[in-house]
Amino acid sequence: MRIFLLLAAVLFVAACDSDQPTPTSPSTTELPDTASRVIAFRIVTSASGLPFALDAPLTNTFGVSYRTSMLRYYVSQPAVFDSLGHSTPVWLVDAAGNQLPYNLTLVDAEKPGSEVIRLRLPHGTHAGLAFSIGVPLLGPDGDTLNHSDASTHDYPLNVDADMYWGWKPGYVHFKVEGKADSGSTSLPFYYHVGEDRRLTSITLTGSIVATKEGPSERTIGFDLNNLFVGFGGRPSPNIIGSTFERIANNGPVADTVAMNLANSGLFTLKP
Amino acid sequence: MRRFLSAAAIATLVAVGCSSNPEAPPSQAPLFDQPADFPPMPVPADNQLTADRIALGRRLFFDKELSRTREVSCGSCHLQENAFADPNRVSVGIEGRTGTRNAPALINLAWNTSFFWDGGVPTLEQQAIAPIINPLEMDMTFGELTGRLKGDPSYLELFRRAYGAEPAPEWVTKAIASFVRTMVSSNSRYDRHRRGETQALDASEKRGMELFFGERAECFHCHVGFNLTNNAIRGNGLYAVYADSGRARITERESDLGRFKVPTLRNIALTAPYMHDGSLATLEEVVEHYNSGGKGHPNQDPTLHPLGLTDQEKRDLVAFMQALTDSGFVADPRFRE
Repeated sequence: MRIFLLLAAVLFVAACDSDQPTPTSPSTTELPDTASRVIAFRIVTSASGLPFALDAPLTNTFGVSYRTSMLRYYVSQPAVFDSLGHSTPVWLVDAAGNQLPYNLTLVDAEKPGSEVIRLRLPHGTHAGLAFSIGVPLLGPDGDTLNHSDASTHDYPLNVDADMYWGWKPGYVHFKVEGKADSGSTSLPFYYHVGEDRRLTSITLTGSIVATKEGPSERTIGFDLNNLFVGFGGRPSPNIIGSTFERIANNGPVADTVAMNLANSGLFTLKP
Repeated sequence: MRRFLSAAAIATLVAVGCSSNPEAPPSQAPLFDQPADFPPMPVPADNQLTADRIALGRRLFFDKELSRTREVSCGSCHLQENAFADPNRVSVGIEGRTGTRNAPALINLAWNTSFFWDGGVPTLEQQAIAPIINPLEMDMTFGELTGRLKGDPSYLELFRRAYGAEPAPEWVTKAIASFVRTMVSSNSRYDRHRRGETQALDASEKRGMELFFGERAECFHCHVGFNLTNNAIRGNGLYAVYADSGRARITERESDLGRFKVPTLRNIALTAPYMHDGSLATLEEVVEHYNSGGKGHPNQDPTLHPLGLTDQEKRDLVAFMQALTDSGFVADPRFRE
């Protein structure tokens, strides 16, 4: 009872701090440390097994050489699920274990450390992990999030995070930019994927042990080359195709990118 | 999110804004003009108008520090003598960069329900973000901007008085929105005619008005109401094939290709060139376009068809549109730098 009252008092004080966003927990109560465990998931990006780095030469599945100058995406709405598929929302936390505002984070290849996402998970063994790529329509507190005024937010939802469309208020869920070699020329490509309907759900199956006995770090693989493999194994979007195929601020090509994000096994949970 | 003032609060503001109260102390000078024949000005609950906020927004609006190279301000492309439109076909941003659309006039935006030619932005506060960060306009980051503002003691004081805080992106956009919200135009000769001044319009202008609001010229289907716009997004058949996708840029729907926001026609004689791309130089060209019935784009509004106007009718229409000029608005010292 005392623990409960103390917890309630802490939550009340936190909620009264008007300078800080006050997202509500996905679950109704905060999990005490004894009932939860923070696991750091490191997203390791590669291109068909070879290490990824910005501006480094890469080769896609179809033998096309390319370099990436930007790779950014939001991770949001994390959850774990059990063997029956029952899902439990969980919180993204920082290195000190504090909940991240709006329960989202921005993975940015230019920012070392951003590829590590930390989740506070309920004690026990879970059958897998789920999350979304992008900014949800509504935040954890039920307020508008994706189309809110970016000038009112701190990083990573601020304007300078360069993930906000000023001409159409809303966030870019996923951005990749680069250049691809086509014969003797270098063709630019960029895919900016946004809009509520392109918020992409990722489900990663694999045992996650959230107890003292389990590992405190896990690895999520991210094979960038799978982003460029469309339905039927075709090069779609084609980074050496027409301008229409190489440049997308939403539109049908963004649909393809979002579909590939969800369907191409781009993310995998490593054992 | 868009919580607006209660009716009581609006009433209070309107009362504060009433300049006819001889006992009002100087500190309660009207914050804005609330025309009696306009609906109450909608003001967001989280950005109520105050004199300090308007003053800060005015300073920011005309300050070239908002652009990365310190070359342009909002006022560089929104000129008061042009009813805060730009006489250039497309505006020139930093380093001579040009966009693809004509800068819209800033008139009675407090009552607008969407902003930009494609209507993609829902609030004046959010609208203020785009020109600041657009690489073709100011090409600025908010981090750099707020750093500059924090380095200016006079701005520190203005922000403190306006929002009780240091310069931050939220207060920049809210202040600019506050200033722009006060740009009210309601005193053209057409307005005076509506208020009973029977001599305010001459015979040609009255004939033009009859055409404008009648089925002969059909202008009123879109340019209607106190602000002479229905705030809708329509295809006016300017092209058979559009280089600019218009509203489709926002909705990604083919049915929105070539559709743009219907602008107010207030002060229209001052805001040339016309259309989303500034491709028509004169009101005569505009009338000729609508008289032709448009180029037949599939998304062209069904109200457009060849009108068969006589030369006199065209002249009368132009005369009426020239009577929509509010000379007080474009000379109002409250909107000057």
